[in-house]
Amino acid sequence: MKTIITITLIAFAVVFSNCKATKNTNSKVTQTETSQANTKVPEQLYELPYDSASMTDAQKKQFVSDFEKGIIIYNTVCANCHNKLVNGVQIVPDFSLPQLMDYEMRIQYPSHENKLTETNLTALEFDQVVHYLRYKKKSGVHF
Amino acid sequence: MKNKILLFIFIAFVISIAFSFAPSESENAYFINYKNKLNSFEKLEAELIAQINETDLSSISKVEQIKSKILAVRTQFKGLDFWFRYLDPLAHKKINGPLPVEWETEVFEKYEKPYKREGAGYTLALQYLEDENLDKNTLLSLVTQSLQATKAYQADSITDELKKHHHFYLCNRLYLLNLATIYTTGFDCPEKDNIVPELLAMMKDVNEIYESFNQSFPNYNLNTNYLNLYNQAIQFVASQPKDYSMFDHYNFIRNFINPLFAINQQLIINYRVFSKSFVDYSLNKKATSIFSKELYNGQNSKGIFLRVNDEKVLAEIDKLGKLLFYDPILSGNNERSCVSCHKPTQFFTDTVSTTSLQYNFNGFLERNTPTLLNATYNHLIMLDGKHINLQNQTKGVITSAKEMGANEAEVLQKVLSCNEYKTAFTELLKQTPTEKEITIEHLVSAITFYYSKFSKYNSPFDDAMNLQTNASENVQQGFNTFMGKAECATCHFAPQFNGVKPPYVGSEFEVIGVPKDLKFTSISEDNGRYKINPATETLNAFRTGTIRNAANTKPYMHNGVFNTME
Ligand code: HEC
Repeated sequence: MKTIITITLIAFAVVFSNCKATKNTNSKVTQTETSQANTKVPEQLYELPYDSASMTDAQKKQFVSDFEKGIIIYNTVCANCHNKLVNGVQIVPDFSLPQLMDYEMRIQYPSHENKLTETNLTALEFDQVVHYLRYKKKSGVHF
Repeated sequence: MKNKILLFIFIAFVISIAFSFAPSESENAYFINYKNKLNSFEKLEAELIAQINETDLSSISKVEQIKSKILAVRTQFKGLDFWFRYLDPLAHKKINGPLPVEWETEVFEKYEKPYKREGAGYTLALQYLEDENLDKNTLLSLVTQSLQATKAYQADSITDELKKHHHFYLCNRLYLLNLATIYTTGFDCPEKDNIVPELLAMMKDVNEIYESFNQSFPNYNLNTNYLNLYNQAIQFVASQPKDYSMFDHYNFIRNFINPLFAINQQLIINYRVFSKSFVDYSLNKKATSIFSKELYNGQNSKGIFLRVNDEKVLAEIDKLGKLLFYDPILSGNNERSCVSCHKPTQFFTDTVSTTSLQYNFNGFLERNTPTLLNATYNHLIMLDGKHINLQNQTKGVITSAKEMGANEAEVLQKVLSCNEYKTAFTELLKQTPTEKEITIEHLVSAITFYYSKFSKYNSPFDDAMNLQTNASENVQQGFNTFMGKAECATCHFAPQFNGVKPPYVGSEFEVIGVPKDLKFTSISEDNGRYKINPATETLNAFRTGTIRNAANTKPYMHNGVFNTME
């Protein structure tokens, strides 16, 4: 019995140290990525959708107005928790499309409780903030 | 040799892992309880299907046999209702849904279009057995769909949840809310004689669930206070007459269910229970009573000012809202205002005219002026659910040619040409950083904030339910009749006694065939919900209104056809 336990312990130790090793390399990668992102200076804040050529002027105006409102809502409601501080600069992270799922976001994460409720964010504002996160220029920092 | 050692290490590793994870019997009690109940339910369902396959339904006695088997299946189902209703509401409706076709009209309509759902299951099968020309295949289809739906509850996504404590307290919350609203009223048990016996059996089944849960989750126990009170509730039900119309709903809810709900809410907070289910979308963790105004979130009455919490600023918004509510400049001809029809002295409705005068005073509106009190506890606004929020409704009435006959730009310009409004709203602009200038949204948000505050007051009935006073014999009896014999409560649900039932994510629409006039010769021509969502089932359907303050909000029905409640 004793031998079994020692052997398992050894096995655990090996697995565990492996984990640590991979973790270290991971964090190195992100560091270089973020410092690159930091030096990027976006000419414009947003990227138009791929079919933007077919957008009417009114649609473009709406696009920009929603985008601008989205920024403000992001800054008032989300930034405190989601912005990353990189070399003393606040960076808005990139979310992938699947992460920006619909209103399900309101309830899927414990941290969103009380923050993303309908008493704190209307349906319209919700769409605007998702619109902003979707079309903003990538910062290269992942959430 | 080397291989053998590696193999040995591997086996030892697997064994030790297996030992460290294999739960002991008591840890498993809860899970086993679930699995056993689920398996025997599935077995019963399969037996029923076999029995239907064998019979030809040619005689009354053969039909009776099937009927009693269905009843047996349904009793077994009640023992699982605690879990089923919460863990997969759609599958639950396939097993025991009350209606053949339902249109989902939920809070999520703010994001999604209504969708149609065909019903199935045992309640419908029982109803179908009453049919003259029984077709075996129709019956089979109804029950086979139930069996299919039951299989959903074997899925890993559900059984994994059972391994944590979170779902338990949320299932229990829904269960308690249903005890206060539907299990005692016959809402999902049309055979009245079965209501009280089924209730008692169900409560005992749930007690078993509690015991097994406490065994398996020693760190997240239901406390003894709760269990003692729950057992008293069982004794109370056991001591009630079997006749459902004699059931004492008032004391059942007031002395047992609501206090149990309060303890469960406390435990939800203490044990940091977290929900990932849309079932809990509108419910508020902080509410300590079913009869609290905070129980669920209906409408955002603050509108564009929703994140303002400073009392001083809110008082300013309220003041402006009141001014606008009374101000005729919101109308095209400067002659109508909100108060023309929603009279604050008459509970924000018009108790004198059947339906109000149109904009230009020529002719009358189609629908009766509804009270604005408690409007904020609906997910969809207007009797046909046309608007998803109160602010859109306000804009709708300002711009309606028959009502206030104005347009948004013109109203905004008129309001801002008045200095007092202009300074006040300019000051408030700071509170809405997304807006560069004052818009119609600011105006309508002030209005909805103003009138919604009148919905916040507790009635003497709420005070009684919250154990602050006791209601008179008369009130208690009235409430019991409402919940029982009169069958009002199968459509008007506590706490608002409107069409919003637990878990309070949807508003119900009902077709009741309101007469056009007091001659009762034809029904009203108003299509109701059909105007918004055209379908056979929505024709002439109207959102179920609240009966709170009903004594003061005559006339009644969408067209105001009745002037008294009798
Ligand atoms: C109180 C802090 C807080 C606020 C406020 C907040 N979030 Fe989050 N959010 C988190 C945390 C922490 C997570 C990680 C998931 C978790 O464990 O809850 C998360 C997860 C997410 C995710 C999912 C990412 C993934 O891993 O899939 C998205 C998208 C998101 N948040 C968007 C938002 C948006 C948009 C807002 C503002 C409208 C917001 N959050 C506001 C803390 C917050």
